Amino acid sequence: MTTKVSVGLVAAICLLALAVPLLHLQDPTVGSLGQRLLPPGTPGHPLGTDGQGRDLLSRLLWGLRPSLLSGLLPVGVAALAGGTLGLVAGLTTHWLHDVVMRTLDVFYAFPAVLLAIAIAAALGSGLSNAVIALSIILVPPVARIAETEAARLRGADFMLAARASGAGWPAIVVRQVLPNVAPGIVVYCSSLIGLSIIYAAGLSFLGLGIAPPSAELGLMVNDLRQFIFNDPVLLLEPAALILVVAVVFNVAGDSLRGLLDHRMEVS
Amino acid sequence: MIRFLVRRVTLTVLILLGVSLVVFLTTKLIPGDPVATLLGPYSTAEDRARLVAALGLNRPLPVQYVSYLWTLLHGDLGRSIARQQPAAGVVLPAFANTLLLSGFAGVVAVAGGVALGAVAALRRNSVAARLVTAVSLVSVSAPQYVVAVALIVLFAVQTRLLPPGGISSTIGGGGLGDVAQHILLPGVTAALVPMGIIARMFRSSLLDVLSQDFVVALRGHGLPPRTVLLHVFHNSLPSLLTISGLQVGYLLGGVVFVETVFTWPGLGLLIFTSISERDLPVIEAGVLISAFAFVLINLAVDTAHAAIDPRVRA
Amino acid sequence: MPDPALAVDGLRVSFRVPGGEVQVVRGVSFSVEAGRTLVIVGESGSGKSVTARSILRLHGRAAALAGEVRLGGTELLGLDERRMNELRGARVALIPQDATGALDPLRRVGAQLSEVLRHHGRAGSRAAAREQAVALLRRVHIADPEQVAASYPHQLSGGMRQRIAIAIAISCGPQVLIADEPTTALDVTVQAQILDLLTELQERLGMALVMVTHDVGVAEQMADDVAVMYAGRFVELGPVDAVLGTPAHPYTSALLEAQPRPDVPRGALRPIPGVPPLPTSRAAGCSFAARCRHRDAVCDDVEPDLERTGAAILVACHRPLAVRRTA
Repeated sequence: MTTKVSVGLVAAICLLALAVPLLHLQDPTVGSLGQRLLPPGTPGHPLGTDGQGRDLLSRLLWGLRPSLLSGLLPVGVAALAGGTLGLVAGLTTHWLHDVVMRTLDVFYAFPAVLLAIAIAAALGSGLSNAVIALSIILVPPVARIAETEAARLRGADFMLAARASGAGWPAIVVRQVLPNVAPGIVVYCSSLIGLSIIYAAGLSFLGLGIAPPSAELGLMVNDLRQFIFNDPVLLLEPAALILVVAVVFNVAGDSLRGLLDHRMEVS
Repeated sequence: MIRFLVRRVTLTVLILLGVSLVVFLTTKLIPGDPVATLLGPYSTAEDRARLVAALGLNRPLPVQYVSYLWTLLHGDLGRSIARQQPAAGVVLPAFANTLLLSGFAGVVAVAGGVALGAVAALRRNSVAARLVTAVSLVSVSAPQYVVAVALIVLFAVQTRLLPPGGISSTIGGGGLGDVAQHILLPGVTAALVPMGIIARMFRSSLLDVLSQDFVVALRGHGLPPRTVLLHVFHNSLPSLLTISGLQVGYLLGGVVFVETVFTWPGLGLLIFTSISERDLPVIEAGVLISAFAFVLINLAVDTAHAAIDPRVRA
Repeated sequence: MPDPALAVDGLRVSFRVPGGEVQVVRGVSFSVEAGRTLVIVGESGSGKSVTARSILRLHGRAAALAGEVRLGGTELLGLDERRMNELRGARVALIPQDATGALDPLRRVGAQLSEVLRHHGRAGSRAAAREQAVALLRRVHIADPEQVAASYPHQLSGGMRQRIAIAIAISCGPQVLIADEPTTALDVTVQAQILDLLTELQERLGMALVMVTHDVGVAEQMADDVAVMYAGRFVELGPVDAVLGTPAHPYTSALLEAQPRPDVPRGALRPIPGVPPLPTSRAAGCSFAARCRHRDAVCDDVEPDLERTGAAILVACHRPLAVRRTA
């Protein structure tokens, strides 16, 4: 039951983000200074306004979009790149495997956020650079999972049978390996989405993501920090939204993982 | 044990080299022509050529890396553009403050995580256990800047219980008690996510050990429950060590946000200000030092693990 | 007449599961004198391991026990936990199933032995305990006991670990020794050695030995008396020659026919059709009825009690066998 609820919530959030341009919201980037820091509940601005007089409800909803994008896109890229890397490493036994795994070890030596910061800082601010940085730091964990799954299969009997029958590697990979490792990798990646969203908002918080005056949840948290003594509620709004989105994605990822473990136990 | 140490230390050195290589490569990621940026739009081709030669940017990449490594080994971490002083002089003191904060947060995270995990494992179906599970789930998902902000609102804004930032009061501060007051909020904030993770892992590790046959055997020998519990904890230590080591890595990275929100003068805050100042050498130096510390901490954790669990040494 | 070393009367063991209670042991009674061996034979799920562990009350609060278990003169089921703990390992000891998991992987073997010795007061100082530990290892025929005492469990072979588990069990001179599948996890050659060791130790120490196994061959070699257990109850109980020579219960007979033995001609193995009923899905009547070749109408309605059949055997069957096995 929890699975259906959480996955449903995930879908709802994504649909909401997609539908934002269709809702008639106020312009998220324009505000009037006479209207700054209005409390939530003010007519016309149900969630209040920020330090520049911009409507918060609109900014929250519009800010959801780049946040989700920088959560989903890096995971997708990492799934492809890391998955391929891990599969190759897992299916070979010679030097290629060792080289790949030791290189991954080096990346694991970095506290993840710091590496993302270093890369994003070097590349310059902006949404696409943030996505690149996040993709890079997500590749090692995905690659490691893919390698473990592939290595598990490598010695399996049906693999030996396929090789003995003369099938070439591409055919084996597509027909034998992928269907067996894909579920595990997909489920693991789904649990990475929540993390990626948090990291992305974090990078924006530090000034490394999408640039103002665009709306982005992490950016909003940083903007509103200076007004914490004036009206703390305003600041808590984007903070709470990030938390809710992260929890929903994490719970969905967890229950998907639980489902997969169950199925593997039964079989 | 000696053989294990030798292998592990060799591996550590190799990883440290790899880390320095990665950091070196990120400096090469910067788009555009660094020399042109440094000299401005009115530089001539000759000026640029001379600076390129002076900075050694015309040499092949491997050679540049080796010279980078060489300066690194001499303690030279580059030069801060914004401050016009050696980066080491800025980065290292800040790092000391970060170690203080991370150390405090680490202690809180491990102590809290062990306590919560033990309660959840040993009193399985009680209200306490279910509460702990729920708290762990939320705390794992909570981004630190969110938690930081919430705690500040609660403890510094709505009530005036604790200071909202800094390492010591600007007026009449600096003593141990003062620092202790200041370290509380940021420390707890930084510890929250690791604590949730450690609690979850320790609980499942305890349950796993409890289901093993030797626990039944120990009870069968008539050993008192306290002794049996002691041995159960002993057997859960290895996985606790491993998790804690990983969480330290998380802490070293995550302090960026915590220090920024609480204006704790550590490496994280330094990196934050360096981002807005575009002081790349300081950022690179900070990331390098953090990664080095993480690798060394992991070495210590692995060594302790091998000391406790003889199967690892094989 | 002195009390038997171990006397069990009407033991019932139930576990709490979601949805209610499941009775895994449904009224088991037997007694063993000092120096004698009872082997309980049964398939997985028959409740034999639960019976063994329940004698030491190792299930704790997870299980509800009823009936009587008397160790010498002491009634065990009514004791408080503290007193029970004093008896465990000292007067009644368990050799757990699969010795590999029974030893703490993080501590040296000698230390684990010493700990038990010192807890039960058999050795005062660390040095004395160490010496006794080494002596115990020698007792169970471990060559180079000092070396082994300084080793960790994962460095030793399965047979060696089983010997160590036996050493710990006899370390405090128990009156009753309970062995739960002591040979299941071992190679055939090592099995024979372990069984010989148990026999020797029993003679030496005068213990009552209760063994739980699914291997009829073990019963043949070790038992003075055999109990055949099925679906939580004894279906047959008696001296080994009687029970295994002229089995009265169809299940016993089927068990013997299903096991490869040297005196059975080739091609004569007959597996028992069907599976034992789960504790949660028992119907009325005899629990073996569904798989029995001699089943009758009464077998489906009334569960037979364990009764004497004139010979030395007790059997729970409405239509006990009177046949002799063809040699």
